[in-house]
Amino acid sequence: MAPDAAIPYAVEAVDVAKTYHTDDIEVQALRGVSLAVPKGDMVAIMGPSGCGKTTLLNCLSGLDTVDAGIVRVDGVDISQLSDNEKSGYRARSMGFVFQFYNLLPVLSAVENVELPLLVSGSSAKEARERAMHALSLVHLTEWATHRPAQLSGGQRQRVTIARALVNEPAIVWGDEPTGDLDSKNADEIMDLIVSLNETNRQTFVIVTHDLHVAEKTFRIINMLDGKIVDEAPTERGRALPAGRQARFAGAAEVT
Amino acid sequence: MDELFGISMNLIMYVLLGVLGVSLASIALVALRNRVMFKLGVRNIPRRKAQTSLIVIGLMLSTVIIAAAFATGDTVDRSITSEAYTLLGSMDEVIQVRVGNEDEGFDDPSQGVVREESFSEASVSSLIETIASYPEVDAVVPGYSDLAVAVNLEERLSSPLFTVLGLDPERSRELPDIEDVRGGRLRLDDLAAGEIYVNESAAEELNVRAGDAITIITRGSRSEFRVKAVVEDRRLAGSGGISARREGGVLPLATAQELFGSPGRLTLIAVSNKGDARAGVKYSAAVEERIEGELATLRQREGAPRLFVVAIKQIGVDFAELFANIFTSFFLVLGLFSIAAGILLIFMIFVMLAAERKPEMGMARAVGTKRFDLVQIFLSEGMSYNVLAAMVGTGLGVLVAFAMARIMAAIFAQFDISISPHVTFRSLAVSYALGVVLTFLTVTFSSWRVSYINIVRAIRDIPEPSQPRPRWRARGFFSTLLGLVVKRGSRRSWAIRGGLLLSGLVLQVGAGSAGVTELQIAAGMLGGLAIAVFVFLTFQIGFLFVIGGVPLIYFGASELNAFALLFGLSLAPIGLALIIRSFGFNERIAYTAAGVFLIYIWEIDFSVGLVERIFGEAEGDIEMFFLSGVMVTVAATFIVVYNADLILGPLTRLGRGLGALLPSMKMAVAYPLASKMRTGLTMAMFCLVVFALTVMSSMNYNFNRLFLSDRSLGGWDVYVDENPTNPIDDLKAELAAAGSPAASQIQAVGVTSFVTQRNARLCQEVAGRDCGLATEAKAVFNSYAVRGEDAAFLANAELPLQTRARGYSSDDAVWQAVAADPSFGVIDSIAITGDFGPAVVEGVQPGDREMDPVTLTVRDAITGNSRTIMVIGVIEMGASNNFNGLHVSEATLTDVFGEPDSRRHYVKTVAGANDRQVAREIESVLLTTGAQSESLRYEADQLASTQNGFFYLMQGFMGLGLFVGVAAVGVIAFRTVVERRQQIGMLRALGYTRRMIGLTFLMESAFISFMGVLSGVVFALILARQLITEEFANQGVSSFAVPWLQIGVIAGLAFGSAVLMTLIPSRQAARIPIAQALRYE
Repeated sequence: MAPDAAIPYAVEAVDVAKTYHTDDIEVQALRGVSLAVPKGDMVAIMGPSGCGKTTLLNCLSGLDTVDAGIVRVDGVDISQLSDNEKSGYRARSMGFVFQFYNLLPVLSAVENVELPLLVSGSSAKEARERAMHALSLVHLTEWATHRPAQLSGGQRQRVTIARALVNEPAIVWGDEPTGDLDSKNADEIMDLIVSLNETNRQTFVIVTHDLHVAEKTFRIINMLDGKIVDEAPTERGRALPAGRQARFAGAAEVT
Repeated sequence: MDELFGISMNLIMYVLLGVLGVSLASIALVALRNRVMFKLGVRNIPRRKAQTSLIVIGLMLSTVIIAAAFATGDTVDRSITSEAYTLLGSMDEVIQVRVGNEDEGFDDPSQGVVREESFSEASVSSLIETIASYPEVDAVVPGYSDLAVAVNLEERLSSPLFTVLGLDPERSRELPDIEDVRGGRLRLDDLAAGEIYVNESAAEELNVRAGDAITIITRGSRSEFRVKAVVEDRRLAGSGGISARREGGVLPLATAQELFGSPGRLTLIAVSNKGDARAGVKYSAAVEERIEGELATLRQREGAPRLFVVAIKQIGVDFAELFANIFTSFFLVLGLFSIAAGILLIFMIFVMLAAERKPEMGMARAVGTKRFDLVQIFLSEGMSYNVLAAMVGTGLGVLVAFAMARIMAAIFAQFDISISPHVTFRSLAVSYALGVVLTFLTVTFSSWRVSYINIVRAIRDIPEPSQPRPRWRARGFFSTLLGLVVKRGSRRSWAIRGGLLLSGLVLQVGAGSAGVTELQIAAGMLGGLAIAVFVFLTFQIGFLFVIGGVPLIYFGASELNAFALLFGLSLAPIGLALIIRSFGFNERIAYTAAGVFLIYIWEIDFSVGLVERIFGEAEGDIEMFFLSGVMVTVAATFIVVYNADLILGPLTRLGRGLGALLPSMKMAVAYPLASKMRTGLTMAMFCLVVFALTVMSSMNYNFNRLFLSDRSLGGWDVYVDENPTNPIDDLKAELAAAGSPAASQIQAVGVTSFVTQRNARLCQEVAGRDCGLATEAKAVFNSYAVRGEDAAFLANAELPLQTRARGYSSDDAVWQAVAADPSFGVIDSIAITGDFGPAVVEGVQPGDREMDPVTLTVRDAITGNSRTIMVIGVIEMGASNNFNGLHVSEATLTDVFGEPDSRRHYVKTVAGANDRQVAREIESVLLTTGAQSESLRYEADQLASTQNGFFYLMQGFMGLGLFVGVAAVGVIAFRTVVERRQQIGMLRALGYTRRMIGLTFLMESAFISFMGVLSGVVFALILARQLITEEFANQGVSSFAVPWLQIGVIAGLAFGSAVLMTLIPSRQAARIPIAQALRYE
């Protein structure tokens, strides 16, 4: 189904294809995926290992290039942007939460969080204030000067979330954000994400294996062999007011 | 070159080959017994080709420097030895008259004064026959030699010290020494009356060829000769010595005797041993002994000449050996900076390799591999690089030495010494073995260190906790104390330690119990090495430093040995810092305190003098330079690395104003601060080499200012050396009489009469010493030049004094006193420092501005005439080179010595005169007298140019060490790109552009190299300033000057190359695809 022009989409993908070449082996990671994520939506992408979900996330977020198709973020075709423009775009409008936190070990928690702000040109003072505020949102004010090695897995992931949200991005990408956490910490992190989505109406696209995590989103998109094979609202999605429900539903093209 | 630092080179080679054998055997054992570990090690080599190349380059740099130093020694040895063989030709021994004062206890030819004094042919005719009958001797040639002035009137060129040598044509017929420069042996028989063979040096100076005419002036009479042929420079072709003394010619004995009015007289008997020029030397000792026996008998006879024999070629060869030895030692000591930096690099490379492979090592340990297996893996890999790298390094070192030989050839050419590249197999073997062994030891140490891993942390690639918890709380105080002394170890490691100790003791006992052959000394050294390794493996470093430091301090203080004393004083605080850190004490405070203490000891105490007050004035040599470099580098590294966050605070604040640069700068600073060891090691490599180069530049620059300034010329502009056979009474009058325009250019002329140090002796009258007593005389008299200054010299010279006797208000007052009172004198500063022999004047220090007058007895070494002189001033260092000796009035000199050995006229020209033109004009007017003249400023500049040439050569050699630092930066940069791949991906995801990533890497390298270069420059300047201001306090030269241009070039090269080296890896980092990087593990 084609994206509805009347709905403001955070991300739109049309017929996206991506093939990896390793030595003599060719892997078709994405085979014509079409998808639209309205602003404020919270989507989980699921599927078995190697189905292409991380590749889809990388292509949608501009971390990777597509071989064919179009990706629009906030209405902008990112394949038309230069590398520098894409970097700037990521710094201003995107946040990332990865499975292994990807914090910089040589920086303290607050320094990690303020990094995207410094990149996007904020003054050092302003960056520090906003980073501390972001850390307070994830309840880590007291741990601000600690380095990642001195934090627990849950704390590290909360620092990552603070970093992802500090520049108030329109969209946050999560690649197995709870994959390295125990169930208690995973619940806490997902509750935090949900509350941020509810409060700030930020769009979240989360790749996960964990159905428990996926069910905290509004919709689940299932992938297999580089294609979207299914899309369904979760219980939370079904509990949304009808207008929002209608806006979020059916944005993925099932093949 | 047979010895180095007093140890036989053969012995050094045997020991090193022994250790090399042990190193290779241990690897062979690993390959045979633990094949899997060997394979694991070797298979790592092709994994990253660029990194492997850098490792090989890093490993070979030390060997390059070692091989270059040894090959330079060989080159100098071979060149000067060849010079001795070539110049002396067939002459192995020479018999000459030597005279000495019996009161001096003269009984040794080397103590006597050589005078080309003649003796009658008749008195030695039977001696000549006797020596000629020796089986080791193939020719005995009587000769007559004296100096003359040779002039080419047509070209108006002169040679004032032209040696005319007359040889017996019959007895010299079979000798090959008279050889045409175009080839072919010549004979004296072939010379017709009025013909002479002129040697090549004289021919060049006079610009004559075969067939040209020359005039030889002897004692005022002129004789015309035709040059029959130009012959090679040989002692038996008139080449009496080096430089200008090489000029001469050879003709039949009778002609020479006639020329000098000495028929039937000889001045020398040349003895040629069997075999060619090189082979004959082996008979020298035996022949010398036999001849000396004959001469001792001869000297007993009434009226017999005082003839002595000297094995002249053996002395020349020994001198060449000594000179080469000094060269090699000097270059090795200078090279130590780079070698030390190279060892740091090797250590760092293996620590980084270990860090890269930490998860693999963790997994290997998890599946049952032992810690010792990990060591074997790294050793296998390291030695594979090493064996190849040392080979390439040795080859490159020889190439470097040969390139240096070309530069040296240009520098030495003005001394008529030809330098040709040469290297011996022994030097190659020693360099290769030393390179391999150094790397083997470093790799073993680093492998041992990195094999201590926590398996779980290694597998998960989590860093080790940075701050160990205070151990005594967990283990108890005494247990901790024991742990601070002895390293823990498994049964196996204790077995190894025990084996090392036992074998070391056995070797030591074996070496000590039987004689002193090279093999036993080698066994002793190997035993010592085994015990040293045992100590190193068994005891904690901090403990060893403290325990090693204390006896060193004791030894240094009791023997006044600066190296031991300051080394001990430096080790102890480092050891203490290591120990108190183990107790959980704040690292920053511990290391900073140790660093500050070291800086005080090595840089500040010069002016405070606390160490000297406590321990006494210890003596050190050039090795102190290296030790100071190492200790200052350790101190600088401690201070900078442990306080970099404080130092960089202002920089980061500054960075806030840099907008887009701030994120890159933040990361560029964060990583080096987090990896203290890596940062410290790289910084130290730069610091060490830049420190050495900056100290050398600063010292050379300030010495040039002192020794080559106008003050060093004593207020004179031109000198004129008169020929002793043709004295000049009144220079200005003679020039005026000849109608020379130079006369009007002269403002004043002063004359100095010289008695060389060969003929003059000085003795200082101090309590308990009587310079008049013959029995003590030999022990207290020193050979020293004496100068008699005429009234005009004393009135017009501007010779600055560093020390004046109390009561004299100015330098002029001192010189006026010397002019007025024949019992007063002034001496140069070398006499009080004793830089080139014992100090002639005791009790006056270089830094003193005032002194009590010193009484010296001045004695003629030949006649024994003497008188006392009161020294009332010391000339500044800068002028002491040009005006060395004891300065007295002309009347005093004549009173003691009679006729001087030579005289020099000093000319002060009028303002605006061209000094070189004046000198040339004087020489031209006085051509036939053989006088030589030159501008003093021009000669000083020539000297500066030679000195600087040699200095730049040394600096270039030391600069090789910069490659080490640059290679280190490269290794780190390539490694970090791999190490931080995922983080680079994250940064890109956060919005870092490619340019920002590249910039981060460049700034990181720039930061590390900048800190190293800056520390090196700053601490070198502090040291150089202390040394110069201390040394030059009373030299009248304004304060310490910094050679900014040279330092700028050194710092710029070091910094620029380091940044350039990072360009490729930083571009690689910038190009990493984000998605791939994030997936990377």
